[in-house]
Amino acid sequence: MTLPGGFDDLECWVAEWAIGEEAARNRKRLASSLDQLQAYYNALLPRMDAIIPHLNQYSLDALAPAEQTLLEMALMFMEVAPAVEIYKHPDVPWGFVAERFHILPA
Amino acid sequence: MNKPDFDTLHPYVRQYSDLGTGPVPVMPVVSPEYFERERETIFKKMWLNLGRVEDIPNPGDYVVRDIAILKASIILVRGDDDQVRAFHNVCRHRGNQLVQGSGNAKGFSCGFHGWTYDTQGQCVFVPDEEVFFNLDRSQTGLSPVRCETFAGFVFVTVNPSAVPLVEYLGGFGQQIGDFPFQTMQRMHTLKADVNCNWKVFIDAFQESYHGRFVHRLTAAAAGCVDDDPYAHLTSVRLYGPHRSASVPFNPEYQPTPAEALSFKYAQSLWLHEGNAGAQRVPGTNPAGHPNWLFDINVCFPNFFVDVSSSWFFTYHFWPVAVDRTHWEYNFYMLPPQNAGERISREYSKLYLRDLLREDLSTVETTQAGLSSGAIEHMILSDQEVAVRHQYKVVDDMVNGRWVG
Ligand code: FES
Ligand SMILES: [Fe+2]
Repeated sequence: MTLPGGFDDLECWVAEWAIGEEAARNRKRLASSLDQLQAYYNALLPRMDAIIPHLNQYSLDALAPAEQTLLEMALMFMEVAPAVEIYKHPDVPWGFVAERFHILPA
Repeated sequence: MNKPDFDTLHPYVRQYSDLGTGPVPVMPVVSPEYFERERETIFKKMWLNLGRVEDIPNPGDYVVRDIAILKASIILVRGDDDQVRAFHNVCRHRGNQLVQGSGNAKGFSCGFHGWTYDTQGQCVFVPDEEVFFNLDRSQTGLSPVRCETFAGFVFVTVNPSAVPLVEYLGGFGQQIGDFPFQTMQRMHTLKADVNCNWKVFIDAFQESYHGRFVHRLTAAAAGCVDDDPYAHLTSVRLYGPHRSASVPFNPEYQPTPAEALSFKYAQSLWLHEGNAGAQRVPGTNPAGHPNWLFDINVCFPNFFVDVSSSWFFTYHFWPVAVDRTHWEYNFYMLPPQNAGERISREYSKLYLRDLLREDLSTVETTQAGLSSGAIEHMILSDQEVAVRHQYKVVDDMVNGRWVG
């Protein structure tokens, strides 16, 4: 098990969707179909109100590996959300080409 | 019978009547000669922002900025005396560039023959010094570039007779100066090399007219409601060459499920108490509008500091050629105290990131259209007063008419 106890239902998403960097999460979104994004969104949305209180018990800079994985899943939910909720498309349909738009960490 | 009040549709031409109402020539965004004059009369004369003091927090921290429009490479460095300084990245021996990128250093040693400078720019070591002729190392420090800070923003100018920065910023600085910039931290940086003129690029970010079209799926938070379908700017302020405009919030705005989650665990992008409580955060909503979303703040010539209640972001538009611009965006929010705030802010960050892909989608096609020569003028509305102001200021400077 890679997630904290109580989140076994999300275990099947970890291998593909727990990604550490924003740019890599965005690439995963763009490489997915809208159906795949919708499935991930549907799995995470009802669990966010359990995920966040669980993670809030710990210091953000010192998360254990299982909690870190859960955080990355939640961040990926936010990455997927605009595609599912707003654009109904994995990418920004008329957006400036993604390959020329560089995302750098803070 | 009540006739509609003409002036409510044209408030800014009344406020700034010297800008006029006529068409604006296209030539300044397509002419290579004009671009060269902008280099000399604007970019080599004005104060230019190179970042924030937090970019180099510790003594010895440095960052090199290659500024194509100045044909210069500039080192920003925090000296061991904690002072932030700027130097030309040029060795005093035979002119080699000293360093690239960023990092922390005790000093800078030239790779060509080993001349070495400390973090205050003093020349501290010349190999085989005795073979030179009356060399006085106190006179061979790095060439300084004028560098001043305002509200934590680091500016430089290569103009030795530029007025002090605070005077240059004037009322613009007074408007934004008390915003709590230093309490926020960078969330990410976005960059792109874009094939358009720097002014065309800026224009895409200094009016709300495009919202209903370019942001047709994302502009619901801004005006774009029945009684304000085009999200009219609620106020505009011109400060010499700088300008500021306020964008309205849609009080009927309904967040998506993810944004509602975001708002539940931290301040969100749009749903902030500042919408109801004007003036709540210093340096924002200067007109005190009850439905306020954010302020567009354009620091002439190429720098934006847009502020809202719980975030700010900056744009830098660095001209490379008449039809090429390097764009950089930095987004800042309060540092997250827990995972819930971290996750919440991810929504805000990504929403704006995707929205910027929409904004950038128009500027290359606009430049291509303007470069075709098909039209000689642009036709501007009262809502595009900031666009009009930019061309006026630039043209006045390029032609030596600018006063103040
Ligand atoms: S050019 Fe730098 S040491 Fe010679
Ligand atoms: Fe926009």
